[in-house]
Amino acid sequence: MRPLLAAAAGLLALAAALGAALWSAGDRARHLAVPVLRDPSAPRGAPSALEELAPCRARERVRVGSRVTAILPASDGALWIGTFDAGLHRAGRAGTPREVGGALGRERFANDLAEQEERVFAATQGGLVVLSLDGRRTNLLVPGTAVTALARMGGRLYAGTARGLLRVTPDGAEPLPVQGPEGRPIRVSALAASGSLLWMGTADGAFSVPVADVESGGPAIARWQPLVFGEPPAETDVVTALVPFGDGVLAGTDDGGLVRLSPDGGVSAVRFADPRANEVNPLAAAPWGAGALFGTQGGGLLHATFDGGLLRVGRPRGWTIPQISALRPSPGGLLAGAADGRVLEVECDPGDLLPARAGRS
Amino acid sequence: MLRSSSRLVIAFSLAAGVLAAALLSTLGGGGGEGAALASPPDAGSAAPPVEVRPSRVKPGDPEIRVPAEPSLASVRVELPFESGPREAVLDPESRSFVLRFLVPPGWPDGAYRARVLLAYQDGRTGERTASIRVDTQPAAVAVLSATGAARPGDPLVVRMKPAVPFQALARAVGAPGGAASAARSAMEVKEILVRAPWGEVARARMEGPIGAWEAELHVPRWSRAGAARLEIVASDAAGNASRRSYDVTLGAPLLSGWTVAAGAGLLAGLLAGMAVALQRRPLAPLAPVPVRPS
Repeated sequence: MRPLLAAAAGLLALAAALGAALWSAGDRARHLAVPVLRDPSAPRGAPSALEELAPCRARERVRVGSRVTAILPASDGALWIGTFDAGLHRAGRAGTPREVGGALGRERFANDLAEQEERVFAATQGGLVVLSLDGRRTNLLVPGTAVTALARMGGRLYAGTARGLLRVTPDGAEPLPVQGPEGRPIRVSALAASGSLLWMGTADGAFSVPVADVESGGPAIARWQPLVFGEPPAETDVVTALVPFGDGVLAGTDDGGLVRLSPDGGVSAVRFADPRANEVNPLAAAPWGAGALFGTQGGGLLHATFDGGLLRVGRPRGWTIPQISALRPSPGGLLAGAADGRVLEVECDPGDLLPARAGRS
Repeated sequence: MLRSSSRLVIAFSLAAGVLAAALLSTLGGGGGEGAALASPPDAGSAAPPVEVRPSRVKPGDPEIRVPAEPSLASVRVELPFESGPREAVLDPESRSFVLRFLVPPGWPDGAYRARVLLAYQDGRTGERTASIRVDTQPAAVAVLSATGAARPGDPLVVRMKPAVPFQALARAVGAPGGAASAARSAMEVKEILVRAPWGEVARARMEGPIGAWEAELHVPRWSRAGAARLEIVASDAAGNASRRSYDVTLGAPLLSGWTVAAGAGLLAGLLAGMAVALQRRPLAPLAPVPVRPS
């Protein structure tokens, strides 16, 4: 009888302690975790090795005082450079870069650049700055709103923000009623136009919507493709960059490598043995030949292409710049921005970037 | 359905977990979910709160913000991963001093202090700290229950809680920023997605007093009875994701497709037989029914 009473008293004491702990924790108790002896999580899949590609030649063109986040070769031959925290810079055909636009506060934190209707649009954390081609500021759209990405499609310019999608002109920005399947707003981190679809990257997977639906004027529901469910799935849902690829897009992620997304809902991820190569810098992606290029946070420059239905990814042999923070094709080749403020002219033959086994004997 | 012994283990684990986490929470000194930390104000000066957005980061580009009070002339920030202080810029739109910064790739998980140096118009100076939590570890997920006997056409509800393995708690001891912070990071969940083999993806919601995450799937009518494997992915505020699978048994429908087909065939045969029999032998007139007077 005594052991039974002792056990009952022990349980009562445990219950009282539990009650007191819950009382003191209040609503926070709902967020507590269950301790488990063994982690039930599945181990990560086997990573892939990066293929070794033909070397590329990189030459410094200009240098600015901060990490390069966006590059735009403008139609007048000038080179525009957006920086992480030092505003916008413009370099003439052969000149040194000078700061333009008079950016203040969070406008100095640039994310993306695009040219439309003889204006340069700078997506910044403090709004969308509109400038003339010679560098004069002409307008500020959505002041105070972080504009994360820009994409041109069908002669129109779209901007992504944490509050959704905008259609922009030099004179104004129009919010577009595009939502996710559950009616949630889409917090855009990257944009790409591919085929008839406008693709939006977010921290919660990717969304796509026919641009005809966007332009219809009515509410449009975007298709949601979480990256974490696929064949194989990605280890993250955070999209940092998007680039057209085949009939869909290729997404760069924060630490899960690259993910191919097709319009039929297909998701296929590839993760690399070099962990730094899995970390694609925000918006550091560009179409290149039949493939795409990505800049990473420590894994250098990656080139992805299709080979017999398989995604193959490689790195130029001897590449020495680990952090590539911006990429943009230019009439003369490829422009790459580095974390140390350099803008590089990179000479790579798109054909040379194909893996040797893929097409060249 | 879970066996009763499993339920008992989970219930006990939950109780122990609540106790352990409450203890850790007490040790860690609070700081609610997603709250940015700020140091207590200096004596004698108004204390602008220091904010870090987002509060938990992978190596990325968060911002430190300090409200731009009229008396404040400049703000410099000493980050734990850089050698010298950096000047925050005055943002007229948000009326705050803002510093955009990067956590270097490969920086270890933990809570770090950034020194925020304030210079006032009248020459006074002040100092605050801001906590930067670097978090690259996802939280695991424990499945509390699932309506495993769900029939085709019925909803299938999966109930889950974040799980913290003892190895993670052991690793938390000695982590930069303290065990409590590391333990909180290991158990924090922002979103849980569940994918069924028929392609449906459900987003779980936190429900009830114990904060169970519930996801409701809908078993298609064409689904076959038997084992089905669910994919569960949990993400935290920093975007770290963990993955696990969970097997459920879908029960047979009340009438399976074959049963319905066989039944329909039998019924059709019966009706046909009756029709043939009726044609061959006409019905006899009904005999009068005797009625007994009450």
